[in-house]
Formats: sequence, C-alpha cells, structure tokens
Amino acid sequence: MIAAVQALPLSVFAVVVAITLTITWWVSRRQRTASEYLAAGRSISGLQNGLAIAGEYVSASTFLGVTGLIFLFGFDGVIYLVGALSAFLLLLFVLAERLRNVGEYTMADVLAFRLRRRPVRAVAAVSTLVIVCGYVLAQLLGGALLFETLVGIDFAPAVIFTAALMLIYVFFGGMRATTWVQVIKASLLLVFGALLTLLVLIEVGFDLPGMFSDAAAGADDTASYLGPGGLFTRPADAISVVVAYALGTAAMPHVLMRFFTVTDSQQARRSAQWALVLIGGFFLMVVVLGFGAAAILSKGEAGAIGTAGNMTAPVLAESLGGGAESTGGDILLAVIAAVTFATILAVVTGLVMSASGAVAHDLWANVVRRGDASDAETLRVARLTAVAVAIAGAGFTIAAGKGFNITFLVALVFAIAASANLPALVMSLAWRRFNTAGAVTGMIFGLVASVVLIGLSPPIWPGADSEGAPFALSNPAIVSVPIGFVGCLLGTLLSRRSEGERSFAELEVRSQTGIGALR
Amino acid sequence: MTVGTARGAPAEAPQAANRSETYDWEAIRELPEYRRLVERRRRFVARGTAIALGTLAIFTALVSFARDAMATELVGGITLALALGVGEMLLTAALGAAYVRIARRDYEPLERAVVAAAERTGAVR
Repeated sequence: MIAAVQALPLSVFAVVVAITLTITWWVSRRQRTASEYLAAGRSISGLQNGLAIAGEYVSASTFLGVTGLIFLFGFDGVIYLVGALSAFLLLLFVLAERLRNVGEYTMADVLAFRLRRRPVRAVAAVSTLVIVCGYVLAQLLGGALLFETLVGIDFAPAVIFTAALMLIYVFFGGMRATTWVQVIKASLLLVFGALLTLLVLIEVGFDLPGMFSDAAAGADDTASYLGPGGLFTRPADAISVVVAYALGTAAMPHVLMRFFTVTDSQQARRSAQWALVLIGGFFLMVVVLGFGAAAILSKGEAGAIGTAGNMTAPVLAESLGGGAESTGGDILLAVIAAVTFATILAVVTGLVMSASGAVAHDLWANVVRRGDASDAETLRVARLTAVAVAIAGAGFTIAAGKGFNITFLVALVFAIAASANLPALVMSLAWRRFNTAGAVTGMIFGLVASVVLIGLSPPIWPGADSEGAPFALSNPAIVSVPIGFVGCLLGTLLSRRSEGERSFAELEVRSQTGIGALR
Repeated sequence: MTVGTARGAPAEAPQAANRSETYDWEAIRELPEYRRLVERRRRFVARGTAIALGTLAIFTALVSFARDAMATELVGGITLALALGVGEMLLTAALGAAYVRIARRDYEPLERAVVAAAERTGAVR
C-alpha cells in the first residue's frame, strides 16, 4: 500500500513541518533571556496552556498507543484512559496553582524551595533526565513508525530524522515557540480526531451498542474483550497501571514545567481545567476509535497495524477515507499521520526543553556554579543538553526496536515519575517536618526501585520466555510508589539537620495566595 | 488567539520585581482572611479527592477482581465495565469543573482579601 503513494504524504508532511518551523522562527525572534527560553516569559494564557498540555497527551501515547491497545485487547485499554484522566484532577486540586506560585523554571524549584538546594536539585535533575530519556524513546518510536509507514524509509533512519527535526525546533524555539506549535497541533489533532470519530459513527450507523458487539466478533473471548481481563492477566497489573498513570502524569517534568509559563495561579488553574476537559473529550473519542477499528477493519487491513497496534489510528483513517489505494484513503491517512507526527515532534521538543531546564538551571547554574552562571551561559548549557538528549534518545529508540506498544512504554516512564518525583513533591508542599534528607532519600528510593523493577519485569527481562523474570508485574508502580513514600518518611525521621533559609510558612503562604510569586 | 500577549511586556530578570518588598510570612499566616482561605480550600479538596480516589479505587478493584460481573452486557456490546469507565471519566471532569467554579467564586476574592489585609497590617511592605 505504501510505495505508490509516497508523493502525497511526503508533501503533506513537508507542509506541516514548514508551517510550524516558520512559526517557531517567527515567535522566537525576540528570545533573549532564560525566562523567555525556559518559561515563555510567563505570559501564556490558561486556554493556550491547557491546549498545549492536551497536545502532549493526545499524540503518541493516546492517539496511537491506546487506540491500538483497545483494538488489540479491548476494554483493558480503557483502564489506561481512566487512570490518566484522574491525574489532571490531582494537578488541578493540589499542584497547578502551587507550582505557579512557588516555582521558577523546574519542578526542583518547588522541591528545593525550603530545603537545601544543591542536593535536592542534583537528585531532581537526575530523575528528570531518566524520565525524559525514557519518554523521548516512546515518542520517537511513534514518530518514526509514522514516518516509516508513510514514506517507506527504514526504521533507524526514520528515528534519526525525527530526532534531528526535533533539535531544529528546540534550537530555534524555546518554550514560547514550543507552546505555539503545540497549541496549533493540538487543535488540529482534536479537530481531525473528532472528524475520524464522526466517520466511524457514520460507518456504524450511529449504533454504538451494535458497534461494540461487532468489535468483539473477531475476538477470541467476547467477555474479556468487552469486559476486563484481555490485557492485564493478573489483577495487580491493572492496579499498577492505574497508579502509574494517575500519579505519574502529574509528576512528569514537562507537564509540571508548563505551569510555570502562565501569567498567574488563576491561569494555572484554568489551564489544568482546560487540559482535563480537552483530554477527557479526546479520550472518549479514542474509545470509539479503538473499538470502531475493531468493528470496521477487515483482516487484510489489520495486517498493516503491526503486532504492537501502534498504527491502528492511521490505518483506520485510510480505511474510512475509502480504503488503501483510493484517493480519499490516501489523503485522510496522510493528513492524520502528518498531524500526529507534528504533535509528536512538539512533545519531544517540550520534553527536551524540560531536560534542558533541569541540566542548565538546576545542575549547572545552581549546583555547579552555585547560582553564579550568566544567562548566556545557562542558555548555552541548555542547548548542549538538548543535543545530548536527542542523541541518547535516538540511540535508545533504535536499540529498543519497534516491538513495544507506545502506551506500554509510556506507562513505565509514568511509573518512574510517580515513584521518584511525586512523593517528594507532595510531601514538600504538605508536610512541615519534611526535610532535605527526606527528599533526597525518597527520590533515590523511588527512582532506583522503579528502574530496577522495570529491568527485572517480564517484558524487559532478556530472553524469549518472560516467565523466568524475577519480578512478576509488567508495571512496577504498585510497589515502587510506596517505596518512594517510605524513603521520604525514613529520610525525614532519621535526619536531624536543620534546613535551608526559607520557612514552611513562606512556602505555604506563597502557594496559597501567590504573594511574592514571580511575574 | 495570540500566545504571548496575555500580560503584555515580557518578564525581565524575574526576581527583581519582588526584591523591593519584604514579607512577614508568619504574620500573614495568622490573618483571619488567610485562615478562612486555607480552611475552605482544604475542605473542598479533601472532599473532592475522597470522591475521586474512592470511585477510582472501586472501579479499579471491580475490573481487577469482579471480571465476570463487569463483562455483563447492558445494551448491545456495551458492558458494565465500559459504562463505569466512561462514567468515572465524566465524574472526573465534573469534579474539575466544580473546583474551578468554586475557586473563582470563593478563593479568588479571599486571595485578594489576604493581600489587602497583609498590606494593611504591614505584613507586606
């Protein structure tokens, strides 16, 4: 299906990339300061920021990954969506306003606010780097698969090309341009997602109950396709994924970083609300798309989707447009794939931005130079970091290959974020006695526990027969998140050292009222 | 929609804007307006979190341990599990909307009252 139609998708790709690059260049002309580069001058509005957060969410991991999981395994894919949406409530209730009121560029600003800064920043920067590299891997996989499917080049060059494009955005752009591009792409993806959903509904004659029945017709077992049990064979697997998604999403560095770009805490709150509404709406579309794909696609078309299900949504688009080899099918496939690809590019750009912030602002400016680095120097380190992360991410992605479902990989990264970042973040905001030792111990415990358990788990443990893996669960969150909290408790209770110069009272008053927050 | 104009001029050296002010954080914490703000917000967040976490826990437990019951088909191929999953998502959105509405109605005026009281009593100079 691919070779004959390369010209059309290539030109759609080129147009989307050209438009967004132009915007990036145009927006970033007046970018001089670190605040401009890393926090868009704190001038983004709530709706724009909400759209940008939605853009991060509705691209690779949801649109490609979950649609594929539902297509392959049925209802268990929906469990990911339910868990993920809860995270935005946690962001809204607890984190969004406080982050904006207290922080400057990165999560570590909030963590280190009343603690000793150098150890906390150093550990937080390491955990951010691990999380970003893992997430970049998942997103690059999605981008490269799209590129490979559409243009017909090999996987490894597709990964390298995607990573190179991402670097161009990072270098030109910074946070303001990333936001702009993300807003436009999120809007496009929401519109085309809605169009696809509408086409699915027309195709099934607006008979949703019938569509679900048809979807299960090709499944081995109707009960575990339309009900639970198709993907998560052990109960603890489902629980672990919900924990990872509900807590991990709210602790991802690039999501947290978005809340420093808005004008004030009211806009931070509004952006969390917009993200919740937009993403919730898109999740409902994904449910229809996933089951709709199972009901509509024939066996022959299903072959193009791949064993991990990642290409379900684009193949469905091709089928709804009139099928392979038809003009309508080609156009719809090209547009959906190009828009998704563009969104993925913006996501990895945002991720690399947060890694740049962690290394330049936390590690270099505050730990190595002890707050003595010039703006120009901080910017230079930020850009060097971007190059390093792009090379590492592309290398990991090529090494991992394309056998993994994107959502599965993302769930692992969320488990790391939920274990390493969330316990320390919540405790530093809520617990007066919490101290530096607690934060450092908690983050190290959570980070090491989640990474080690992932390495020992069935999907990653080497060898064809995963039965021999030392750790039984495919997602470690249910074990590693409590370990992170225990680390925070132990470190705090076992240490007597006094703390940094700022008090819990300052943190609390600032986070509650916004008095003294950066403008 | 224009990114970047929500607050006009770009931020300059961020901390400089606040350096001229001094704050007495302990004094602000003792203000009755501040107490009221924290108390109200805490009450809503505690209830909202309890509802959200409680229903999420029940949903997760059901799909993990009551698989046969959850596979019951209600209308056509729509199972109990699907209905509850979508219901949980709608509940999440409703709780978020409730928080934003209450924040605009109650917390924002209180935040302004705290700032005014802090300036009046000299806690912010």
